[in-house]
Amino acid sequence: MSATATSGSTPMRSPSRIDPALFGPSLALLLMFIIYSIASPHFLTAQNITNVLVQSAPVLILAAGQTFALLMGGLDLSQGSIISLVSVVTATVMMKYGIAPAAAAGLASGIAVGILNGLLVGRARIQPFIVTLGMLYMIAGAALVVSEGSTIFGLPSPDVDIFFWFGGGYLGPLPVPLVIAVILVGIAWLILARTPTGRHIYAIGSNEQVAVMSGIDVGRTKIFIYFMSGAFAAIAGFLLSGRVISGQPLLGSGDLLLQSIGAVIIGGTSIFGGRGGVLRTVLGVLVIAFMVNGLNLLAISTFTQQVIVGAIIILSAWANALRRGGR
Amino acid sequence: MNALLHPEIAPGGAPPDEVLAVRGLFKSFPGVVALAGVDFSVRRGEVHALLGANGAGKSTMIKIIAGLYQRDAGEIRLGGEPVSFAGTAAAIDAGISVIYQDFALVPDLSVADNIFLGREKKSSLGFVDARTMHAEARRLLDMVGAAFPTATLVADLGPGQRQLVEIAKALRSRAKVLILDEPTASLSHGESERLFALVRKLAESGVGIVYVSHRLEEIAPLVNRVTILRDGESAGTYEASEIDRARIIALITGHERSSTREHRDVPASAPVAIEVKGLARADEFEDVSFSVRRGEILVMTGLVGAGRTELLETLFGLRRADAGEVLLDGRPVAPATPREAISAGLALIPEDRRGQGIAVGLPVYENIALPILGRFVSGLGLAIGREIAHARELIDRLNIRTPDPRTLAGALSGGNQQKVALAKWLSTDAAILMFDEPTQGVDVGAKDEIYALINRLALQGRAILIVSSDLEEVLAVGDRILAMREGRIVAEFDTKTASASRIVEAITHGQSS
Repeated sequence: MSATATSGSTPMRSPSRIDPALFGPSLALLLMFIIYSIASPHFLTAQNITNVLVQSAPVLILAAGQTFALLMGGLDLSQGSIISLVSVVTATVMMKYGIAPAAAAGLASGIAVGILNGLLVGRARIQPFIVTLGMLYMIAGAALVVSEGSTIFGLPSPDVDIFFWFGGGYLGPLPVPLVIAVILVGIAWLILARTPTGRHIYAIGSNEQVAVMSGIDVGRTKIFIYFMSGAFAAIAGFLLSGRVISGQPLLGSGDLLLQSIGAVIIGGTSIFGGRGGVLRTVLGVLVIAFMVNGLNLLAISTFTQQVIVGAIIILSAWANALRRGGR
Repeated sequence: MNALLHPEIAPGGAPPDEVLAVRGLFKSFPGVVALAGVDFSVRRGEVHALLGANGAGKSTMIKIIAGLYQRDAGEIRLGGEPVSFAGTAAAIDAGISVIYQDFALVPDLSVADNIFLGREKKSSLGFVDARTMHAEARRLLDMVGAAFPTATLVADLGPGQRQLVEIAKALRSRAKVLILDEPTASLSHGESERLFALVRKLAESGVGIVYVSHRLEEIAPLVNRVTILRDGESAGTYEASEIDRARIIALITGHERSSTREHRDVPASAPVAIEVKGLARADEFEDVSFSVRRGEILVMTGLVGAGRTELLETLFGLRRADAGEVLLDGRPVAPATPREAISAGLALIPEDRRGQGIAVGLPVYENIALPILGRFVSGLGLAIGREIAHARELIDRLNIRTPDPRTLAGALSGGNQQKVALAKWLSTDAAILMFDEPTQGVDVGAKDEIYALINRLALQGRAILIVSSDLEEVLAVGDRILAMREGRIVAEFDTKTASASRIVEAITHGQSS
């Protein structure tokens, strides 16, 4: 058989190692840049681009965490509630003890939720959708309980300035939240692409039974996944409440969660798991952020914008389905 | 070349009883030419065997005929008329039914619902007419000789019964051509016999039957003609009466089969690698005791449902034993998870390769590296270059046909997927390798390669435990044979003195002479 194997015109190496799924969103982004640059003189300015990037930093962090959950075929609906909880815990602790204990307590509260999610999914083996839906309610409620339902204002100086530095300050010429987002995306990429744990996540998403049979500790890996998603949401929550220098029990109740899931899907990560990656997610976040920004500059109402963002999510999933079915 | 010898498939004058004819079928996938101009025909009322190595193009051809893939070039005629199916529904409506190896049934629906899936009977108000469907399903089940109720959930049926449901489904759509892909792969001997009788009956009623199998012993008594595919081309069509087994194998592999089994003797002094004492699990197996020495190959055979797979899964930590003891190198172990079993030195190459063996959505090299990822960790995370190099080496060693180590495992043919599943475990340090039906759905050429490989593993001093239903395989690979029946070991044979008839006697009646 080996004698005839070479008779066809079989290429022995695939031509490139660039993820072909990056092509669609990249093209969308490029088209958007061209159209918006022509349509609005304010779009292609350093000021505008920087603004968009800084504003999308929290979603970028959230979506990077969300990518872990989607890659294993799950999802994390509790991210928004974690943001609210981190915000009020940080502010409450800061009132009495200052910034450092506040940051520690705030981040720890979010990470604890993530680990709890992980234990329920990985050890108690409850569906991720159900676990995180329940947690969405519980933690949203907990945030209201901690803050007694009202925004926590009047954080002590100078702690409040440090707090704001994280959410809206500069490191030299670089906006701090953006720097943090880039570092976190880098960490997520390293874990997913270059570590055994990352590979285990793909294997579980692709076929959990195979993962079990290969000796992978599936339960532990799931705990890690929700730990990451929770930790990233906690950091996003910390940055967001720094930006508004207050503790807000409804900070994460808006459409941040949906944006984070939407960005992962637009990037082309399969909701059934096993395919995708954090770089795709970055593109997905950028597509949403620049789309909304351009529409704003063109004075298109936020109502219409929602219609368009929703359509993009469906279109990109469709494009991915076409690409896969095209062989 | 061989096609020239056979006037019945020459272009032009098609015999009037030809129900399906395929001419010059061509299909390529990125990097692979799957079909390079295949000719093939089926007559009304005949059973036509389609043989060939994994990757020879059998599955691709079937999928094109079934409307699942679109051809690049060539012609398909059904009853003399050229046809072109946009999808599977069109092919089914035209009278082509395919029963795939991994059954296309919905486990959570009843037998009747499955038979009418997509073609539900409706009442005048547009609701599902359950009464008519069940009555009709009953009639179809009776035709195929199935006694179970139509309301049974498919999940509760065994593989043989599921096959009958599939055939009933084909009868429902009044199939003119019925294609069976490896129909006996998961059936017991008795179930296979019943299937053969049914296939003959269907053929007598005028259906043209295409029978794909790797079990050559089934072919001779069952089929009228044989077509062999090799490398995407037809290597000839023959009357079953005028071709023998050796010739078929030569045509499939492209060379004469070399039965070069490296000589190997297990010294009686070789240490026992694994010893099982009185292992039991409720309703699955009881009082199972045996041992395997280093360098020894032990084969366990029995009918489907004899408890063999359950036994392997218990040893591998997927199930827990109710009683009994397992000793590895004399030390008792009780793995609770596959992870613990692997670190104790066990490996299991499972029967259900798409469900448990490999992840079809991951590249070949990632599948191969999965159990030993720790070895590829370097300063900056996983050394992907080394993973790929490692995969290349195994691809060469096992003769895995893949365009590239980065190809998705799901894109390979069945036998090559099985080789990937094997490759996963070869580089582990496992001292005890357990194979569950290692060559199921694997072609003759690849079978020999896998046997040679298992033999070499034994020569390295590893203990091998194989579960197999394929009698030819049982007699070919092992040093010793254990026969299991209804969860118990009923007989033990030395391969040198064992005979097929005594083994069949033991696994069906529980006694041996």
